[in-house]
Amino acid sequence: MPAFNTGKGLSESVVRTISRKKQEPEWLLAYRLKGLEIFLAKELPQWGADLKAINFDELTYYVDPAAKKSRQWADVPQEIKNTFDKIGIPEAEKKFLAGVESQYDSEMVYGSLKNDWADQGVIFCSMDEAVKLYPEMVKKYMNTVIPIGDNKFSALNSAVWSGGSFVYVPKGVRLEQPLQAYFRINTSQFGQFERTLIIAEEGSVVHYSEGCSAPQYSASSLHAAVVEIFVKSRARVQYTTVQNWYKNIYNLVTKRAWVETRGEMIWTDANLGSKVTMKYPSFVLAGEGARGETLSIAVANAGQHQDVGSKAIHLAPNTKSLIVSKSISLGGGRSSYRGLVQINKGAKGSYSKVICDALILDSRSRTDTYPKNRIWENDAKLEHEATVSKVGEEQLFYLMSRGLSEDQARAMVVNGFIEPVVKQLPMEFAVEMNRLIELQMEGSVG
Amino acid sequence: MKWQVLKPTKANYYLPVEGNLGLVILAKSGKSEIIIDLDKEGKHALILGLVDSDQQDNLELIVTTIHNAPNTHAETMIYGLVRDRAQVQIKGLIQIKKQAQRVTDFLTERILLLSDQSRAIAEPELEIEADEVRASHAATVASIDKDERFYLMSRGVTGVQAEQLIVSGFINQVINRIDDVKIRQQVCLMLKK
Repeated sequence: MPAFNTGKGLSESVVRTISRKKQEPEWLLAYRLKGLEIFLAKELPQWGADLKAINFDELTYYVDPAAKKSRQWADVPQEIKNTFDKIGIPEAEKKFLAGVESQYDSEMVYGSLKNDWADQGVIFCSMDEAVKLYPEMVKKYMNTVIPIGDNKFSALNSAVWSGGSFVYVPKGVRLEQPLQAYFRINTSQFGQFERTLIIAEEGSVVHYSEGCSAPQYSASSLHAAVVEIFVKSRARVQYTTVQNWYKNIYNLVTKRAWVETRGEMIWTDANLGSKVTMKYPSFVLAGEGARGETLSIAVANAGQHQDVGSKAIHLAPNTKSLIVSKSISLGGGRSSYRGLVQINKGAKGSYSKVICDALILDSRSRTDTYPKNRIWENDAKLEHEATVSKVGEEQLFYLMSRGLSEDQARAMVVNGFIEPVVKQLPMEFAVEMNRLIELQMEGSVG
Repeated sequence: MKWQVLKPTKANYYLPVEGNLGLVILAKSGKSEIIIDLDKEGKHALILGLVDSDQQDNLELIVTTIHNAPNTHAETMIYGLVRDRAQVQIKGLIQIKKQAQRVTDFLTERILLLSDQSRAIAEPELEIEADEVRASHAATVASIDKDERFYLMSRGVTGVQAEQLIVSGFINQVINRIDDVKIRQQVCLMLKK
């Protein structure tokens, strides 16, 4: 039996069908229709990566996740199977990641953790469930830090979103274990148009991680997620993404956090896959003494353009931001850092530091840096620095004189280059990241 | 090195680098774009920018250095003072084309905000298509360092004098890079006006 889907193309009736299928309240349908209207009215962005090849009429905007028994293991590209083996993904996870199984049953591992969370009043469910169970909360926070019309793709997401996570951490609750979207149970995981909402109440601590360093295979060619995060007073949220979509995907994501007094937001963001990624995780430092930090890694190999960066908006006094970006271009790939630091009038004593380092491994590749620093307050300080370099001959020579092959030596230098960011990742991600870099380096010409 | 002093009055300047070029840009307000084209192998360029805006000035300065030939080298320093209600926007773009291997280019943008109504936008950009390169840029925007001011005042100068000393020290970092005495004197005179 073919899975239910809305067919190709986007129209008002498609949006209404999605909403009806999910039995959504009237206000949510209104949001969706508004999103559609803005999406259709807005032009493609005139900056950043080339998006002209996206054919919006050829895309399918909604597939019923329950019926998404999509693919045979035999259909999964050999390249992906090899990568799974090399980075050591367990058998059960492989099938799930390759889209052969739409769910990954991890009740055994995560069952006890789930009870712990529930005891403390933590809510961790899919957005679709949250709409049904906690409509007031969803209505209060959704589309606020990222308005529907923020950009063309946030509007598209608002119109057709499906899946994604809802996280609520009550006052003072500190979660030791990261919440992993990847292990969330009994919900569709990697939607094309995920919608995530995280609310961390006063003094709470949570680390949310999504994605996976193994390649995620998907037949659909557009991924446009929206992530909204609310960091209340003295709360701390870390959001880790490891993105390794298959190389046919346009990954256009809007992520933004609202940070209140003395709150802290940390984005750790690694982009390895996709054809084109445009993603600029942002934080609005709205309360006095709020802190924001972005640590990002981008790897652009053949046929890829990683247009990534971060935005720091300082609205209140004594706010601090740190952005560290490390990018690697090889095999004809292109990586661009694009960022904004805005220090508003009145944000006295604020400080922002941006560091962008780029490594370019061969003459076919390209790297760019496009930062914008707007300083409206004179009692503030901004520092920005960027460097571009290649792997030094003397570094390679030294390592090779110690018995490493050229590929190994190169991989070691590159791993050293991204080390400051990798060590901030959860351990299992960090280990896989180093293996992935070695894999990317294999056979790359210097 | 052949020195040239430029006070931009029009929107666009295109400067192909024939010999080794020393360029001093003195700007106050208005919008101008200066393109320095390094299209001959082995050439050097040193670009020094001094911006001093006050009152209601609105300045936009774009300095683009294009490396079209291999073995070309450039260094850019743009220092800006923003007083009163002025706004200064400085964009410094380094472009290194595919054929331009063995290139170095460094850009520094420093902006001092001297009043609480002054504003600045700093946009240092890089577009690199070659791999045998070393390129970097750095930008800072800040007001006068309170510690430096305090130190000078502890040595017996007034607050106003201390600030003047800091500002002239800031400007001198750029002026001291001019190795031609006549040009340096000419620039100092132009700055006093």
